[in-house]
Amino acid sequence: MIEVRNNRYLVAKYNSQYTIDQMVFLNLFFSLIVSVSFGNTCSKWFKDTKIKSKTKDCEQKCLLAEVDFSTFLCRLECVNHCAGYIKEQNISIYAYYPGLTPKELALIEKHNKEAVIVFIQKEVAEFKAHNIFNQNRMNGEEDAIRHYLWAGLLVNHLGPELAKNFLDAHEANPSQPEDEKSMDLANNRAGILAGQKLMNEKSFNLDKLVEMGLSELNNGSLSVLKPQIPKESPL
Amino acid sequence: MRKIIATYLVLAFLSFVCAKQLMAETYFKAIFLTPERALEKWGRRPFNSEEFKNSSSTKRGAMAVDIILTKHFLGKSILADVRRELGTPDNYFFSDTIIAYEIEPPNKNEEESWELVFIPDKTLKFVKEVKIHKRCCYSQPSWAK
Repeated sequence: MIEVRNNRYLVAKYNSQYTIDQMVFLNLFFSLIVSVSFGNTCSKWFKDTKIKSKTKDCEQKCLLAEVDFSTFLCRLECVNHCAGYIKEQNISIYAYYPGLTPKELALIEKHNKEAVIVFIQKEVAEFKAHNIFNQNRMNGEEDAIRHYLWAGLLVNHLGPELAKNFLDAHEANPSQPEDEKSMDLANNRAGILAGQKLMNEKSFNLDKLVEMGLSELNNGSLSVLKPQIPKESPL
Repeated sequence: MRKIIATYLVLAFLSFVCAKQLMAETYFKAIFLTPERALEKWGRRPFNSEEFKNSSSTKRGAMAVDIILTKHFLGKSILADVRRELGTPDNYFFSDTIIAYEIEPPNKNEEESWELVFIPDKTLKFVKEVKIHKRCCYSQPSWAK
C-alpha cells in the first residue's frame, strides 16, 4: 500500500523531532494545502470520468481512466476518490508516462514493473545531466551524457538486453529526424558498454558512470550534434 | 508546541505561494501559462517562420502567443511542419519525444524561463496541443536521487 509506505517513510524520517499526533496534524495540514492547490483540477477530472466512488472497481477504473498533461498525476489521488488504498501491483500504472512511443507502450505492457524502473532512471539521468551542464537539452553535451547515463543505469538495474530493448523502443519516435536518432543510439550504446564494464568490475555507481561519461565526452567518443562547449575548454 | 506553530506559519506561507501559482494553469510538476496571461506578458505579433527561427528567444514570446491563438499547428505533423517552420527544438518537456522551443531564457538569477511546448497525439506524429510551459526551479524528487 502506497499510503502505508509513505507514512512509514515520514515517521522514520521525522521520528526524532515529532510525536505521532503532531505528525498527523502536519499531514492533515499539508494535505489541505495540496488539495487547495491541485484539488480543483483532479476533482474535476475524477468527476468527468463518471466513476462511482466507494465501489469495488472504483480504484481499477480510476487508475485506468484517461489522463492528459494537466491531469497525469491525478491518478495518485485515486486513493482519496475511491476511499481505499492503491494496491502494490497497481503502482506499475505510473510506468505509462506522457510521450511514450508505440514500441515503448508495447514493451511496458510486457514488463510493467521494470518500466517503472526505466522511468525513475530516466529522471535520475535527466537531473544529473542537467546539474552538470545546465544547457538547453537538445543535441548538445547534456543530451549526450543524459542518454549515456540512462543507458548505463538501466544496464545496472535490468541487464544489458532488456536495457537495450527499452532504449531502442524509446528511439522509435516517428517524429525524430535520423541524425538525432543516430546521436541518441550511439550514446546509448556507449552507456550500455560503460554500464557493463562497471558491472563486470563489480564497481557500479553513478559517480563512476558520470566520470566515465565525461571522459568519453572529452575524448570525442560520444556523439554531439550541436556542441555548446568550445573544444579548447574541455570539461 | 512552538515547533507546531513555527511549522504552521511556514505551511501558511507555502499555501499563499501555492495560491499565487494558481494564477497560471498548474499541476504537480508543471506550470503552464494561460493564453490570456501570455498575451499580457508578451503581447501578440504575427507568426513568421523565418523570423522565429532567426530571432533570439527573447523575441519569440509575442509570436508564440500568436501560434497559440491562431491554433496554427494543431493537427499538423511534428516532423514535417513544426520542425520545418520553427527549426530544431531547444528543449523538451517531460520526455524528449515532446519538443519545446525557448521563448524566454532564464533570467540572471535563473529563476524562470518559458518555452513553447508541442504536445503530440498518441502516435507522436501530430500536434494535439500547444502550451507555454514554465521551465524552472523543479527540485529533484527524493525517489530520483
